[in-house]
Amino acid sequence: MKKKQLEIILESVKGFSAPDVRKEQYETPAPIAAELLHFAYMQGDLNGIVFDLGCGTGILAIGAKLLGAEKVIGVDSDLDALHIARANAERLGVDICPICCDVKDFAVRSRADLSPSVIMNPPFGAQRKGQDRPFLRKALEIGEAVYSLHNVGSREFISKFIQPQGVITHQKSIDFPIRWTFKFHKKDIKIVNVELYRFERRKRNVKNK
Amino acid sequence: MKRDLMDILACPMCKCDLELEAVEGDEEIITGTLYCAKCDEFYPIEEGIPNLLPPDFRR
Repeated sequence: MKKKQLEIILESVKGFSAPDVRKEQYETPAPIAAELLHFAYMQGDLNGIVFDLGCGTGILAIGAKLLGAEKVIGVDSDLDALHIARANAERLGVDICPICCDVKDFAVRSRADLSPSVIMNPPFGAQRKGQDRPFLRKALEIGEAVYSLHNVGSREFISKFIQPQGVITHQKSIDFPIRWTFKFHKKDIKIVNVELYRFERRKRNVKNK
Repeated sequence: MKRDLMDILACPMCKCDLELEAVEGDEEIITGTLYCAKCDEFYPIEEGIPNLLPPDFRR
């Protein structure tokens, strides 16, 4: 599936019914989700088990499944959002596994031999500082390869935070014009700048690219 | 919730295995519970979604 095609399909994913500002609940814009997913797909990281941490209404989880992931598990503490996520998935003809759990508490069976990938758009910590940390920690704990969206200029923080077990392998800047629709029938274009990181658990002979 | 998720999920508190009791559904569990023997805690599965939030945070 082409990236543009994926983006068009993901545009139809419904968002939160009552977003919680404190949890930084906002939908990942479809072009940004498509960029992350396509990139992960090209690296061969969307074949097996995929976890979407803080999946919200499911745009990344659904996209991963559309790109052929074997099983996609969406973890979020908001049960209402998970119901919307599942309805979104059903409407697009794919099956995702929603699980209601706080990301920091989510646990995977120790005997499970999964080598999963993690995809996520964690809270940036704009409302409460450090909200992205439990996500990074959990992603590294359960994932072999992690794809994560962050504010511009996060490399130093992430690189330090995931040490010593994790190492950044890729970084990509994503600048997208997003059409915001305001309540007063006024449309505007806003450029959203984010950074996509791929990091993984450290193996021997891994070089920074 | 798919029954085969039991191969993946663990108790959010002690990280031990969970036991599934299905009330409605077989391969696709609609209603049931996940039980952690070590914590002696039940986690509900309602409308097909397992709820692993701590008991105080459930609605």
